[in-house]
Amino acid sequence: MMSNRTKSNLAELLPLRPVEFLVLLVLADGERHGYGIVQDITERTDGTVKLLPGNLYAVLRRLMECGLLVEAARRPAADLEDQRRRYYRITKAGQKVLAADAARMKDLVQQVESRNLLRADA
Amino acid sequence: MTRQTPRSPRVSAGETLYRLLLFCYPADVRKSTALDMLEIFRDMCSMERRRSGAIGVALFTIRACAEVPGKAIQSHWGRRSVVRANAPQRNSIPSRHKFGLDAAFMDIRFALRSLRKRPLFTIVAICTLGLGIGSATAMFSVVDGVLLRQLPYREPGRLVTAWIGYPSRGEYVNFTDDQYRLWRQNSTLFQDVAIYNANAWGHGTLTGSGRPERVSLGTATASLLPVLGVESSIGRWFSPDEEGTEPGGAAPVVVISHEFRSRAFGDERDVLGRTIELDGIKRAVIGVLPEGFRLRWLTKSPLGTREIVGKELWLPFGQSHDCIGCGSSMYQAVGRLRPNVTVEQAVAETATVLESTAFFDDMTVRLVPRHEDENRGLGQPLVLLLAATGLLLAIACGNIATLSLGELRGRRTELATRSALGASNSRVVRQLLTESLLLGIVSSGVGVLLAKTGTKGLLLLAPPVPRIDQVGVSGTALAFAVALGFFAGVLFGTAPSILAARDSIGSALRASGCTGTGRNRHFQNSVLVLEVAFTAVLLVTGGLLTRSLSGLLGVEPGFNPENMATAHVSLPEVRYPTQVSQTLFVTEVIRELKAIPGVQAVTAANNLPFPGTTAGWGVRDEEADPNLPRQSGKLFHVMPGYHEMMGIRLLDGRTFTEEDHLEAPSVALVGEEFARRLWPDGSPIGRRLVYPWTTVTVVGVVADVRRETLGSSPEPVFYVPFSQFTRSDVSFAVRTSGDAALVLPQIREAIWSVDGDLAITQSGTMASLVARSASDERYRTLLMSLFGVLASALAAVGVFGVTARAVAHRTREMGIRMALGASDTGMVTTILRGSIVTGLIGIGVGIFGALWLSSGLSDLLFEIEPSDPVTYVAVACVLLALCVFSSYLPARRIARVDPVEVLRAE
Repeated sequence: MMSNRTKSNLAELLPLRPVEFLVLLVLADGERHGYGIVQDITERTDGTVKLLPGNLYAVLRRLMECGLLVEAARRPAADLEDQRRRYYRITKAGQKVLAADAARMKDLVQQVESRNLLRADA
Repeated sequence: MTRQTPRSPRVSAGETLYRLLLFCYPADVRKSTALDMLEIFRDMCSMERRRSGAIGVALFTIRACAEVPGKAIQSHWGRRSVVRANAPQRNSIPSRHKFGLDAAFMDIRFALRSLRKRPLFTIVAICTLGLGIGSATAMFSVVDGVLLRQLPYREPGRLVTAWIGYPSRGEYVNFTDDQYRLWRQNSTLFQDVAIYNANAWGHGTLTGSGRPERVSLGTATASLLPVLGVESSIGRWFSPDEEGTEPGGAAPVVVISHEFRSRAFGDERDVLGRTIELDGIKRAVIGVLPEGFRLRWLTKSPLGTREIVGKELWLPFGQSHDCIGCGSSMYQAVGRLRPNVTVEQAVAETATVLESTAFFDDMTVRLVPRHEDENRGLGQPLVLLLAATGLLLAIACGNIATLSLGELRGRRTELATRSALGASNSRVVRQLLTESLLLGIVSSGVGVLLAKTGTKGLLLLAPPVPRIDQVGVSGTALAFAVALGFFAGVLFGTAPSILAARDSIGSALRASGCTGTGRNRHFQNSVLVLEVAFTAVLLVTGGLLTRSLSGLLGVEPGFNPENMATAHVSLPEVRYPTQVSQTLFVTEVIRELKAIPGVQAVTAANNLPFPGTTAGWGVRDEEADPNLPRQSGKLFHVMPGYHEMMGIRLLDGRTFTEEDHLEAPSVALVGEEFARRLWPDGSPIGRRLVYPWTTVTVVGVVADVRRETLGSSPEPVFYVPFSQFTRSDVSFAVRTSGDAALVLPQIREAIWSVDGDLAITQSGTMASLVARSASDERYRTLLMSLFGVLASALAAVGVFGVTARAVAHRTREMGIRMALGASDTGMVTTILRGSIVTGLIGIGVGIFGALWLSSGLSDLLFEIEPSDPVTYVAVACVLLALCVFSSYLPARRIARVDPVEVLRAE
């Protein structure tokens, strides 16, 4: 589905929801299973974002529907337990959307900085 | 999924719940992700356990489980909303509008607008749900006030009521005073024990201030109030030295009820030390009981089947009527267990302590928690009625669910457009649920208003039950109503939202909402089946109770209650100390009564049937072994001609005559049941009957009479002539030629013409007393029938609505069929067939369910089986007729369809 998406199609998906952004960001580092994603997000946000299973899979399904991530075919062999789990991988389109959203946010941050609103005590 | 990690029981239970909740997801989503979600759930539980222990796991489980239904609904919606996926502004709404209070207020505002645009639907939904919630809340208020509220005693959980039982004889009796003393001295597991005598016939006459007044009174030991944990509101309760050790030996003091104080002394604060004259004896008031204090004693009262004993005056144990050392089991016993003592331990100890006082070898002790004892006989009927209102509410929810589905079908275009314009799935689903919840909450407000009126109605009709005067729509009942509204909103809102979500919005836009889906029809039919089934259950229950009541009221009482008036007096021993003076009074009153115009016959007895409560005695044949168990029999003192006047049949021998006077040989008549038990093989005529203080010769056998209720079995009774054995309690029965109620004032005047200082009670017609004896049965039958009728009306509306929608959605199909030559009748039959099949399935399910549930009704039914085929067949026929009628009305519209118009519209 995603292979047919044009650049303008991808732009329609912006802005990403914070949770969608975080999931794509975690997967940009490599394949993860569901619990791995939850743990990574918890660590990255210092525990301020704690995904529950229902919400996580709703986000994963939505991102897969949009072609931003896919289920990985291969499994790491090191951990037998991990072989049963589904792994997820970010797609090229996902990387593009992630980058585009990050650029959008960067632009916004720059605008804030230019107005000297980002102070140390903020 | 088979990982064997140790888990706490809380996690296992949470896992099970979570696993069940996952079934809310669509099947394909469940297959693809449920195992993973469960695995993550377990991992996160383990993590929470490491971090925060069991509490963390519990909190996480609650959060995770609460999240599933909403996500599942989104999932149902999202699978079909193709339009949404391409929405250009999908994520453009700022997040503060998607979540939080802003969004909630937006939803509520939109829901209000949406509901205002559909006033008919809104009014119907609120009225229907309000009716369901109102009836359930009113019934809950009664159950809460009577059954659930704690008794007004300190630590009521430690209070028990005690009986002595002889299982082989099927008898449970109260305590004798000797047993009480033995129990109190030797028991180690009770903090204290007490006895009291609060029988229904405990009354006295208050004189000395104007018109004599009959007041209820009880006697009790000094330990009663400390055992109950109740304190006098003014003054004090009795002290042990005020009790008497022989009849009449108690101190002349009295403790009065709050209600009596208000009535007798008004606002006067200083009532302590005041004297009142009771049965000719002056007694000093030493204390006032707290407001509402009453001890329940299950009995039959003249004005109903059960009396709540709120005695007005309490006297210390040791009054002249107290049976001290005579071995009479006339005292109700109550004990307070020590902390951490179980009822079983107390039973064992009490049985050992009282072993030496046993009348028979198989003596047992029965201790029942006070709460259970005071609510005896009430739980089942009240819970039955509450369950009935629950079914009524479920039917109302079913109606609104099918109605909502029809509405949503009509709104598919609106919903699809909103989705296409950028509303997310969750937003639309949340919006629909907000509308449902809003309806539910508003309905609960209407329900509360109805419940306030309904509770008043319930109390007005209710037979006397304990604490009924304290029943009202309390805070608990209000919370119950709001919870019901919320629950109802979710119940009827969720399923239609999911089903609406499942419909393709794209197809909705194309088809303009003209077609229904098979899944929706299936849902509607399922709801309809349940509605009809619940209605069948209610109608069967109401039908069984109605037939039972009808059978009960058709019972021959064994005497003729028509055109009979009654009045009762108690003769004070001070003024009527001898048999002669008592007999003289009765004879004079009878003469005065006979002089009243329209009076045909008059008689008197110590007590008349309904209530027919009187003392029971152990009696035996003179020739029988004195060591053998005695036969218990109830004794009635009656005037000559009593049986003829009452219309009680003589079966053998003779009745009493004027010749059976004080100097004549002592004689007795026995009832049929009494004769059967004592002399199963021979005639009782001429046999000598021994009872505690004398021996009498049996001169006749009379037919048995229903005495307490029409449903009660005939008891063994025997009669002695009033002239030979007088009593201070006298009931007069007057047979009139016309309406007995008209002579009641004259009866009172006639009695007062003989003695103006007597209080008259139980003044009424015998027919009304007989009818009121079935007040419990009449009450529950009336309510259950009312619920059945309401359920039928709701079910009929449900069938009507579903059929009407089926007609509307099949108009095009029917138009084409008609164009092809199908007849009107065939068309109507096709529509009717669907409704009738649904109705038949519902009736089948309901009849089966009622058969299964009705076994629990057997205690409430009189001479009718819970599986009574007549009731079931009648209910099935009524419901079938209802289904046919309510589906025929909309179905006949199909015959008016113009095929040309339909085809032109295509």
